[in-house]
Amino acid sequence: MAKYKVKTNQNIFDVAIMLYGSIEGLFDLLISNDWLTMRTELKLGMELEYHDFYKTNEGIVSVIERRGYLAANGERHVYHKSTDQPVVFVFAIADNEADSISFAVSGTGTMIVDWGDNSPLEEVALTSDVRLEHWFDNKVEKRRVKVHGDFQLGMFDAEGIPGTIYTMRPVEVNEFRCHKNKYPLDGLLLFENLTTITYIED
Amino acid sequence: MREDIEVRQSTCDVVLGSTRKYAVYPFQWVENQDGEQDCIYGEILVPSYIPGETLRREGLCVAIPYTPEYKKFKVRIRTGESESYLDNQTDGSYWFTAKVGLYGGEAADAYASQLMLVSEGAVFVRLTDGYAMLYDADDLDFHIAKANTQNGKMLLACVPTNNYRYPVTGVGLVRWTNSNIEYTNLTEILQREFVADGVTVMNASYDYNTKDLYLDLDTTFVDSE
Repeated sequence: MAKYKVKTNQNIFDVAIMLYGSIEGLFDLLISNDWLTMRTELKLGMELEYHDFYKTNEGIVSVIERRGYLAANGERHVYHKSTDQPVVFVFAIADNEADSISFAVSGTGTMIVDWGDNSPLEEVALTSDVRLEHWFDNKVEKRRVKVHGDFQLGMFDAEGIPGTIYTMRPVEVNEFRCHKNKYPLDGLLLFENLTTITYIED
Repeated sequence: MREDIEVRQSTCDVVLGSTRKYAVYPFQWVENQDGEQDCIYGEILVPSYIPGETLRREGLCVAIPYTPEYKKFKVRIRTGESESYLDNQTDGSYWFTAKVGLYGGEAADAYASQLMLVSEGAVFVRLTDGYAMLYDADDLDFHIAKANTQNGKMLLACVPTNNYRYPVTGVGLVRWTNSNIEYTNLTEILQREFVADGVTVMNASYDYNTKDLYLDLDTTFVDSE
């Protein structure tokens, strides 16, 4: 058995290409390393065993070695993310080019945010003052940020949300801070116990 | 002309498109004095020439705008301009309670404010057992498009070893970003990669101001295949 040391930012498909010349080599990797699964996140320096006499496409392996190529595409989380908590807000991001989103809340309960990119769900325990900021890790044609959970908000400041807020179910929000924006506010009709709407002219 | 699954160049995502065409009928919320307090009511208007049996068998598509009301809802189907409605053969009324199975779950009462979780465009309404079952109207599948330009762009963008199907091909244009390309082997690599793809590079020019690469390609060979 030969051993291969994982390089920076490599996933198991990259290693299969490097060692076997095709992702079909993945099967040999999985057989040779019984602890390895499709979900294993590879780290720099991890050692993988493989059969060095077995190559799916020898021509590709030799070209990779000769030209000094390194396959390193990193890990991506592109699968459906699920939670048993109901959706409360959907933020329809209007600007495709927007590379970040931020908003501030205070309240009680737990918020689970699906940022609409390849990042995992973010769970936020609400306190007196929480500012959430996220940089999107991919580009999409249409982005929807979904906020799940069971929570009550004392304050909701939507300054950094570059799009429309849609509310899916009634939610307690005592104060909503609205900055200069051009998006509809229909979603506010499902806010309960709303006492203050503050319009801030930047 | 070659055809392939379309990939959006700006996001590198495959393009999904609806595989069927459908008519979208008008929808409006209506008053129902005799209705239940915790329900709101809607009406779909379809032309009178469409037989009721066709609607029951094939369903219909309707666009319902975002409605900030967390209430169950019922719909009736009005056939033509007159006060004529499709009857619910289960309970003898005109109303069909809307049901939906979100995220693959069991069918449950649909709430008006949550409709955008089903579809942001048209909703397909299927009449089953006295209920109006709601689904996204679009059946999505990979979109197939003419692919000569797309293949060329992918070949330019792809860095060798990043493409799991053809791991040693690709011009990897990003490697020449901000370089003086007249003194690099880009020309040779361009020729080699495109010839391997069955396309001859007739002429190439680079605009240093806009950072655009213009290629004049001869695709006669691949078009004739």
